[in-house]
Amino acid sequence: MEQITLLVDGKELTVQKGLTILEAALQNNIYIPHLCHHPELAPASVCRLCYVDVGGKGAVLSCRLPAEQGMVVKTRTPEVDALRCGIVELLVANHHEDCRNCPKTGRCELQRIIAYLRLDRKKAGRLRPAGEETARDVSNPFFVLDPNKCVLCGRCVRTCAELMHIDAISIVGRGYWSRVAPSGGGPLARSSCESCGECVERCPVGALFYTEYQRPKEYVATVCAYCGAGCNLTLGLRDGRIVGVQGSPLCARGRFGWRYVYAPDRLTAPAVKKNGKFRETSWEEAVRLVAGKLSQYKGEEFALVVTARVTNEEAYLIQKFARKVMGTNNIDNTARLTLGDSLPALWEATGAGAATNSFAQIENAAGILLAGANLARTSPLVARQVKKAAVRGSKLIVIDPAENDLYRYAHLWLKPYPGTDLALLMGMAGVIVEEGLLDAGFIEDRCTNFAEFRESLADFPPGRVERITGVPREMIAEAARVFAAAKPASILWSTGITRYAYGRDTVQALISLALLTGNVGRASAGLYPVGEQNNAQGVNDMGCLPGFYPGYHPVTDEGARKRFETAWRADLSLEAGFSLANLGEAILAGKVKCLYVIGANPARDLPDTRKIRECLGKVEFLVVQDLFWSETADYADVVLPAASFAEKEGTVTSADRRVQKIRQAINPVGQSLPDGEIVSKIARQMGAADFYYHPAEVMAEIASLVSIYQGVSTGWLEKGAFVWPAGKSLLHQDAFLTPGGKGKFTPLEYRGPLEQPDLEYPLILTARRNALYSGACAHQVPGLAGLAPAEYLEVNPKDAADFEISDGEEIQVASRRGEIEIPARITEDVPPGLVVLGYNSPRSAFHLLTGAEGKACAVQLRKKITLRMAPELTIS
Amino acid sequence: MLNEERTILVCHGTGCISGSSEKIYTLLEEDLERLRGREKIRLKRTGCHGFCQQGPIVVLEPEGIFYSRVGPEDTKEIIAAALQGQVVERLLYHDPVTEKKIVSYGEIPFYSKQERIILRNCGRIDPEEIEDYVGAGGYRALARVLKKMTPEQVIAEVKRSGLRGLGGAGFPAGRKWEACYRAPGGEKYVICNGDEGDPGAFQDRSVMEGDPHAVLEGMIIAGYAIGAGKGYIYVRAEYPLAVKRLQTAIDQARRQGFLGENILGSAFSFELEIFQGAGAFVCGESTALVSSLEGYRGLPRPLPRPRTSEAGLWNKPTLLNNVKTFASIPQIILHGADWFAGRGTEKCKGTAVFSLTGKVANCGLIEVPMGTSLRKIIYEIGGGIPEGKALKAVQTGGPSGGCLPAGMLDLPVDFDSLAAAGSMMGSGGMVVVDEDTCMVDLARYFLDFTQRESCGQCIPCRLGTKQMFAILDDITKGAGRPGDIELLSELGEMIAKSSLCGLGKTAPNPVLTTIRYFREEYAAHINERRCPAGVCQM
Repeated sequence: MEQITLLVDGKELTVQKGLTILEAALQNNIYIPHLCHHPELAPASVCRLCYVDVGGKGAVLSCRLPAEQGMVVKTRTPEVDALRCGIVELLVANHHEDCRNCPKTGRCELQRIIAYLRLDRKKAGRLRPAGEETARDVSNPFFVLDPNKCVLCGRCVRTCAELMHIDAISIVGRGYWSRVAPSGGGPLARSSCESCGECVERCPVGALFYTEYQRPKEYVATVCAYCGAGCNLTLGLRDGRIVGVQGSPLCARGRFGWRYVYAPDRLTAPAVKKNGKFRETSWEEAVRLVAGKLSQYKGEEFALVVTARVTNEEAYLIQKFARKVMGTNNIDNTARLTLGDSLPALWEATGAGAATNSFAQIENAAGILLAGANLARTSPLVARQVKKAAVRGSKLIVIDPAENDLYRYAHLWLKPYPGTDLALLMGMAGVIVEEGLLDAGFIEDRCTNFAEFRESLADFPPGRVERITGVPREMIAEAARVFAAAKPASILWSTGITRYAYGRDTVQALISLALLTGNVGRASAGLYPVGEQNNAQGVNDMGCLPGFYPGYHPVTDEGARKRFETAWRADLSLEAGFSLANLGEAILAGKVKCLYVIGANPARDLPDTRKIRECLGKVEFLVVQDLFWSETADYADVVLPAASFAEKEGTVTSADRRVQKIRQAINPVGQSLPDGEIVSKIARQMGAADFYYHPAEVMAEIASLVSIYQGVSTGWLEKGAFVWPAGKSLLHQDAFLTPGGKGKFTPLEYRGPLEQPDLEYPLILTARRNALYSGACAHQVPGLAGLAPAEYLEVNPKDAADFEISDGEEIQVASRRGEIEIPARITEDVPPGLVVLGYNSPRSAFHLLTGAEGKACAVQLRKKITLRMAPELTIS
Repeated sequence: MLNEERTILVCHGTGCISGSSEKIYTLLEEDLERLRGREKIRLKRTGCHGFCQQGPIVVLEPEGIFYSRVGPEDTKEIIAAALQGQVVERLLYHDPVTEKKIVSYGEIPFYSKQERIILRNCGRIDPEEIEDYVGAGGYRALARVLKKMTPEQVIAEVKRSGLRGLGGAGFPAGRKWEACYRAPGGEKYVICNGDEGDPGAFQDRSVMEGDPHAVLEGMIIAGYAIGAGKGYIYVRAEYPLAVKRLQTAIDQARRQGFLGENILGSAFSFELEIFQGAGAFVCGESTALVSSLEGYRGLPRPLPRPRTSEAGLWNKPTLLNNVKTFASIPQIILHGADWFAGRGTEKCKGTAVFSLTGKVANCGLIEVPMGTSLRKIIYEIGGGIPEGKALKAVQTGGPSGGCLPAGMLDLPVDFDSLAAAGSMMGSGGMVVVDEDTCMVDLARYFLDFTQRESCGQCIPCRLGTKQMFAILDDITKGAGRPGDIELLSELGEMIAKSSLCGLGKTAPNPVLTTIRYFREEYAAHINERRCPAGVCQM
């Protein structure tokens, strides 16, 4: 980069060419007053304060003029000061002047400018004061918009548009009556504002401020504990308590969601059920009781379910506990509920069970296929990458039967019937092969099994695909052509693909599309399974899976077993365990009798809730370990209080393979303990003396035994993220990680969703998450839940007419397994035959209706006859 | 004249329509039918004559008999007289200066002292009939350009004519055309700025309503010259009649092969579309207009920035000219640059159109050669100040312009002399002020307008114009404070220097010029709580 030298206030500055005078000065700690400039935003030049004198030729705006070699700049001259003072006097005369009671006092940039200018307040007093005050918008639980203090620098509006691509606020009105407000009118809380708080972070004055703000005294850098995007954030502490979060960009959960840590509902002591009632007890007694009971169920009678929110070190210890101490492979994690078999499918096709590229690369993709993923509601900052790409001209193809927050950015929106995506994708692949749009060189050099795959395409002629999916064949062909032409192209998917019985096949179809078009092993050509939990990748990497040891070594592989037996000095089970998908059957069949549930809530999150609860009732000994009481805990014999992410050390792995350190900021709430420590206590009680939750030591063991984590070290993690394997954010660049180094096509056949509509249950029901704040933790955050819209069922007007349902009417939705009551919303957004449940709360009763598949089922609609509540709905 | 047969022209400009000229037309038609005069006399609707004060106007050609203030009750008499070759005495124009009745159009001083190039067809042709325009020599310039001239030659001709942009700033049109022509890139646009937002200005509206094809022809020629394939006419939605007539004209021109693919058999293709503004004064500013056209909020972009001719609509080179600039083009091509340059002054060629209003006997739309003196405009064309009052000042250029005192009556009216005197040509508004007008109140009126129309982006304009208005409001209510005059001057200079766009930079002009020329009136308000003109209630 070319360097230039200029003279500012007599000081010689050497800066990069291309900077404005303002940027050059600020970089070198020379202050020039400004309000609208922000280093992350495009220049607006509306505050007109950053005047400087260049070469004695008079005042010019330093934010618009590029710094040039040899320039002589003066930041203060009488002319410049006169202009600046005139403008600031106007601001002062129109500004709510109660600095002492302003939450921004001391951090206010207007105060700084007034001090810099030594403004003569008497001069401002000559001006006519502003008229009456405008009402503040206090609808948002986390921040306030006070137009009386607003200087209309537009930073907030530009942040919302340029940085976050949300566009919730704009400047409305004209002239003196201009103000920042939601683009569509109404209060912020009812607008498209996502409450990320990025605008508040950038407001120079007291116009946007946090409702609760305390200046932190200490800071702890850590990683957000919500989704798998792996955003870094800093917890601000004061007197041993978290008071806020710093970091950018973040979403509402990242910035405000930490408050669940202090939720009054946190479990604070172990509890044991006696005679149907829980009573608190000591850790000693609880551990002794659990260890004693578990000892009776060693082997295949024991099963463990763990949340994908524990740390890598905890996950490693937990699976080691199941395998070594309990002697079983009956362990599974909740990432299955979002990722399904995505990682094993990727492992089979590419040799690595993970996303191939980093999220950061998405914004440069020329094409994006987004299948069954409501990213804006699950991983807002991954959604932001997709929006960024689309804004830059990337062709986005959205596959989703229901409306998706990203469809506004889409070039094409395909709406297949739920669960028919495989046919759609194979239809696209067929067009690509038929029209010769494939990357023949890539397939020839780098892939195997293509002939078999191509043969299986014969089963997917356009007509059949159209009939199965309901998507016009022309549209499928168009999508295929657009996708094949856009290079590099990325593919992202989530529950809309994975939560079907044959979701693994559909993932294979997505991978095949990438192989077919040469979109693997290149920058911005990524395959991204996007889960919902912060460590979905890590718990899978760590082998919390019934079929795999840590590092995706199959438990049926003798060599792998021997290696872990040696390392752990134990005899390990030869059989693959039960997964979450067949755990219920195993319990009902009496094969599994003892269950240890860590941070999971099968009684609500697994499909066919009624059946799952029946299973839980049959379990002879159930241990539940969590931050909050859950529906599953109702069935428990022992409930153990777990510590949150802010109360422990360890690492988590983002969905794009970045292993990052989370750091302890506060002492565990009550008597709660980190999951890893609880499991270690039980293990030691059961005689396994080498179980300790010492994260660094556990990580050292992981690094020595798990090849993909080789090279990870404490030193590295202190500095930043470790990307597995070996720091590579881009996988399969020269060769695939499969044994032969080739990407593997899988021939596929169409197997539809398990449940089809019939005469009695004529409609297909699917669900869409309507709020970012629908999870168990977010729901404990005061304010977050209140931002969500009410739940409803979307019904096409034709179906509504058939079932005699009117808009807003409370109706009964019944499946073969249960029924719920919900208001109907009549809309053309859903096609006839499909109804969509918009949910926003962990209390949603969707899974009372679902069967074996967690995403869709057949239902009937009934008019509500009585006011009787379904007992299943009234969950305590 | 094209009307060799006997024709009754009924003005259908917005002013006359509001005076029920549509009804007059229907009645004339019925009366003509009843008196069996259909074969003898044609009836025709026209655009605005400019003399709206005298409307509804009915003219009888070829005699040029000019009837003013016609009512529905007069139609029978008009037809009867016309058939008998007589004149309805009582409907003739009454000259307020000479107190005489004047029969013919050409003898009325309001018209005889004008020189009409831009307004030549207004009031003469039926704006909704392309044949009328063609009959008056329309589209001949286009045909000549397409058949005989290269784009370079067209630009050279416009440059040589000395035509300056008639939107107010007076930027040499030829230079702008050349810059667009030279700007790299295949995709270019032509935009006609018809967002006439000044209070009291209606010359662009009259041209669009009265002679829409002239605007189209100018734009098509411009498209050919700079290499554009698409043009937009940005019209205020508050001008529904202009929108309708322009649309009719576009449809007709397309049918006749003046628009569309391979115009007049040439290789040149051009399309035109109307875009209706949403009622913001600031959208007359070029970058705000472009933003608005692109579908965004109409906000001006800060300087320094590339010119619109380099990066305009969708960042493509864009030629943005005013309605009157485009309407002048066909005449320049037809009669030659020298003919055009023969009018006006050394540096300002051609003519200027003004909306003459206020305390003047003849209000209306006038066109005079550049450099005509204020005295001639006000006294000869405007007929002087009514009721024997004294002239006090002339406000030119609308809310962005300034007030000139009576002592500057001999100032030649053109871009440069007005600017030198602290005012501007601007939109072409010209408000005549007599001794009964309070200058502070006048400044307050204009500031009230600009503070409402400020887009609100930059602080000096958003808060500064509002502040100036508040101070002026106080002064006119007797609540002025010592030091307010200095404060107004200080604010005005700061706003003019530091505002983001032309709106803010010129907004203080009415205040600064009235302070410059009528400071004692301000002082009387503040120090003596007295309004010398007796307007302000204190």
